[in-house]
Amino acid sequence: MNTKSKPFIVSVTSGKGGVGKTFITTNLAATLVRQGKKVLVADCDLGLANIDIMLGINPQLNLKDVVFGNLHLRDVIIPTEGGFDLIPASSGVREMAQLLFEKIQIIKDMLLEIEGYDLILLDTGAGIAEVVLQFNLLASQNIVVINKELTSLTDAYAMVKVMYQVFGRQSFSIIANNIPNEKDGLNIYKNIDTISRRFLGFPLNYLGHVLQDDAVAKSMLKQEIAVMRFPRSRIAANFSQIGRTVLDLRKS
Amino acid sequence: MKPLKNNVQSLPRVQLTAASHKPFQNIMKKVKPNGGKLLSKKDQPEIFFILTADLPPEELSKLLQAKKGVTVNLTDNLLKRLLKLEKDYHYLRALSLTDELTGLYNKRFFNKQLKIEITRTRRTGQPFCLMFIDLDNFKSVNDTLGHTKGDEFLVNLCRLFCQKIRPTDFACRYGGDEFIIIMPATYLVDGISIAQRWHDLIKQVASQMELDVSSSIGIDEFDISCTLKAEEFLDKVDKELYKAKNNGKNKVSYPGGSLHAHEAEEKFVTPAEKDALYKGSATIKQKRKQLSTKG
Ligand SMILES: Nc1ncnc2c1ncn2[C@@H]1O[C@H](COP(=O)(O)OP(=O)(O)O)[C@@H](O)[C@H]1O
Ligand SMILES: [Mg+2]
Repeated sequence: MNTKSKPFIVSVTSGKGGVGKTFITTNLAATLVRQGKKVLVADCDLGLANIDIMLGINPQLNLKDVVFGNLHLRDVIIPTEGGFDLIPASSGVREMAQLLFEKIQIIKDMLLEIEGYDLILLDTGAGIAEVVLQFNLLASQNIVVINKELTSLTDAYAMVKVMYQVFGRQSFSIIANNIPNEKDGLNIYKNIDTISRRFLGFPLNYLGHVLQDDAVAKSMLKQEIAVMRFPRSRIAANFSQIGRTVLDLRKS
Repeated sequence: MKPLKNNVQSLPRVQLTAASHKPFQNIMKKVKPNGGKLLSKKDQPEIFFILTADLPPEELSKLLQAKKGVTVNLTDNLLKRLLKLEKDYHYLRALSLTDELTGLYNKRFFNKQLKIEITRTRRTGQPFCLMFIDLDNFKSVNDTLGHTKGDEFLVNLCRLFCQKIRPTDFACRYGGDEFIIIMPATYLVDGISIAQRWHDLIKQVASQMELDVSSSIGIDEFDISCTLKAEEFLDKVDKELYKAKNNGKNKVSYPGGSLHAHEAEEKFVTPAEKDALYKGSATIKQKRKQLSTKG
């Protein structure tokens, strides 16, 4: 474990809602913990913050107290059953989704100050909102989640394009989620990768796939983390693979 | 399109006859030893006219040396010719489309072109972008270092504008330190990256002149579904600029703050890109079908 150096900040983003960002974030975090890392998850989906609900916890303090109170992000961090720590956000507060630029900067600065973790995962909101772009910009790696729906593909592409054209970002990692088989995942990835090469001029990195699995719905119902409840499932294996690839990214 | 060459500027101004004007005669003596009378090949006396209002002698001298005037043969119908010149001059001034200091297009041109672009978008379906640039801190340059320094900065900046602008875009000086760039056939996402480049460029020019000037930029796209009138659209872009100013200046603001997913796709993914993604997706579906019928 290396907690002395700066944490590796990774955002999980998509463009479209409901493709599995939050599911990927929590399960990847739990997997990385199993792989021996110290992990912090920040719920940055200010429009639909729901990691707390997914994990069945009811935190006293959250991001709102940082933005509108005078707490530091550190003060609202809580441990979770997945073994990772969490910065919860509050959902349903309209002002949160449209945070002032200055407030976003404050949160970003605080995130950069946090020490003692190997990785920080940011679960971002949907859409090409300024907040989402800013958190993606802060992260040194952007994981873009896609599924087999066409709209998820075009929205993911829009996200990549905007991050590239507005901020010059050229490095993105794709996870194909909720897919019937491995080959499909690769094909979906190849599709968006081809378009990126052709129209934007750079390739996309493939982190891997997460299969469609009933285990997801089952564990959601119980507010548990799928890879922890079903450690021998196919998706647990998928996440192990993705976790290793993320750690390789960090080294390079 | 490059800004118009400053034809209007180089046009001679109001006429003064050489003979009666004392400072003029003195200058002429310096420039041409025979005192204002130029001799043509046929030894016909010609009079060199500078068309100017009350210019100070130094300026007049400059004009003379640059030979910016008209030579009139005495056998011409002088009066007629001068009258016509004056008429042309006023006509051209009224039509003037460029800004005097910077040579960029002016507000009058902008207002016309904006309407043209809206019509074009409605006809072709291709969106265009409008970018509103306002310099931060420029007033304090004028106040502390003087207007000459301020003007010098503007001229340098606009020279760069003319060099770097895409040949199809129009750069206009809208007010003192306000500029507008019209970008025909441009999607918002491309507009934003161009705005970012202008923003950086302005910063560069300022730092080269050791000035603490930056820019706030608002940008928006006019697409075929937009029903706004020219002034209303301009207002919308102005609001975006206001957002940039209000969020700490020195930045580009665009209507992305509240975009929803499908809107984002519509705004940022061009038809060609979408088409390619759809085709790729269709072949995946085909493969999936083949796989399931085989297995
Ligand atoms: N691999 C998967 N298999 C089955 N269901 C999935 C999978 N990934 C996501 N889902 C379902 O998709 C829904 C949306 O996931 P979520 O993580 O909340 O999306 P987002 O955070 O992107 O809005 C969840 O309710 C989950 O049950
Ligand atoms: Mg979510």
